[in-house]
Amino acid sequence: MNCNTCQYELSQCLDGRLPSGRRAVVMQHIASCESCDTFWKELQAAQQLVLRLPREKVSSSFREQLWERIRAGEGTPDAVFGEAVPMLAKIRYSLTGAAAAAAILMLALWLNDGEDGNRILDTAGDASSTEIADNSGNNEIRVGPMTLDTPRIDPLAMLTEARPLTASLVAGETARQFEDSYFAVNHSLRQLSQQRDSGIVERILSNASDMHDFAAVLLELHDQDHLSFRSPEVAADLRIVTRLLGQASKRQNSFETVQDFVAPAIEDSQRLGNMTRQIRVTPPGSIDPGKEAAILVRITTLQPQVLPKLFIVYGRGDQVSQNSGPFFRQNVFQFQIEDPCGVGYVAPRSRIEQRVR
Amino acid sequence: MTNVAADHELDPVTMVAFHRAMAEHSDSLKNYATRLLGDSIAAEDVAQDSFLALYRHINQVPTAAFRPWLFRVARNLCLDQLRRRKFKLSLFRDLQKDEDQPFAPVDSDSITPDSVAEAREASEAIEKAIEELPLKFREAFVLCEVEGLSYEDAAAVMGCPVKTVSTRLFRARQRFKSLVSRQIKV
Repeated sequence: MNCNTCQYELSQCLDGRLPSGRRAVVMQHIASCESCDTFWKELQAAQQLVLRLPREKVSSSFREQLWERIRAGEGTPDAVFGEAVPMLAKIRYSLTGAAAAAAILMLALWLNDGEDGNRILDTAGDASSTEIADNSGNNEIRVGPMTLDTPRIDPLAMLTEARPLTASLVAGETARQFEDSYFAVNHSLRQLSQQRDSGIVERILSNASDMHDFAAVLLELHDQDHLSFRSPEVAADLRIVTRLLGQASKRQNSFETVQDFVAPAIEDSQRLGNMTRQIRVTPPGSIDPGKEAAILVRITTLQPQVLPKLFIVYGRGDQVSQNSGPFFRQNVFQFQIEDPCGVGYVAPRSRIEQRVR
Repeated sequence: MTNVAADHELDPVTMVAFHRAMAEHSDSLKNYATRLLGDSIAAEDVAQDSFLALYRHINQVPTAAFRPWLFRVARNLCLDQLRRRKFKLSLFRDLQKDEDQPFAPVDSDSITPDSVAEAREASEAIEKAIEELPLKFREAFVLCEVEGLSYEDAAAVMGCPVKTVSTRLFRARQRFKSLVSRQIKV
């Protein structure tokens, strides 16, 4: 028996998986082989170390919170069965309805690139923004600076992730983007504590501004009963963060602004770093459509800068279908965030950009 | 979010089985998720989501399969989080080290400042060694060595053949052993 085989079988032996006959052969080998004998003893000692490790326990409120979620009718998170659906199947399913329209639209855009003066610019190279624009300058969607790394758009994801804009989609995406901004600020604050650099200050304030906007949307949705928080402290923390970061945005970009407003907002709100876990979104079917449209309009009119940070906006479904003949006209992209009819097809940025991170 | 099954109350027998599963597996699930994610707060959420999923799908899961099913669900949730937030993990890990020192139970008669410090240092080294294992090996190691799942159950959780579990576990043990060589007293 060679030592490699012996050591592999010793690992099985440790779990009691080796038949007794085979075990005897292995034991015979280690009696005559010093290195395997040492390996066996070390393996056992290592197992003892692991068994002595302190064990995590769930918190005392674990059961209570779980029952509360069950009673509230919360569904199973999508990621539970995340691996069950192969990617190709997902693409096939998604290439229907809105996503198909988006695919045609995207194709048309690429084909028309340079021919009629319209273009898609992925400005990842300048590390500051991504924009979809035309030369007329009147229907431009610009997205501000994002988080730690420069996001790039995955074109395939743009086709597969299109979906109608709903209040619950806004809630979920806002929570995810809030988390991203929170981490970006947190990370940059630590960098700043080691190196006082104006670039880091700029980055912190930019992300803090995003955080402020996202927090305001979450509070708005909360106040309109479209989402609830796991505990009242989350809402309280969000209000404090909104107030502090709001004050920061009114001051000049300086180290002192970060120190006086942003750092305290982050330090006192650790639970917000896990925002996606802190919210419960009202299930889509249970919202009155009129009320939902009202909240979407309210958010898009009061905070028009927020929606483009959350979504790539394709256009209203009826516009997409109306324009599928000539494929592309300038007004196809005029999903107007300020459009009182509101609902259009969008793709959450976290779904699109995560694939290229 | 999908809500496939049972918003209604479970029948008493199933309810007892569900309660028993919670009592038996919630800590293990949290441990498993913590070691995959490196974040105990997120891990508790994963454990809770797993039980929520079990409750919703309980009629489709045989009672004997609760444990691997729950671990499988927890694994999917963890991998989703790792995919979605992999760049963030290192940030949380640093914060945790400062704030959430693991509690190491020590025999009260033998408590001395030195022994407490040594125990903590040893625990940290072991946790760090587990954390340093590549994800595939770490999974097998945590499931079988730490949580005591059978190779068959671990294979069901990881979605791979039993032989693969055995090989990954062997590789994980080899690496782990060399990483904690200072702590091993033969």
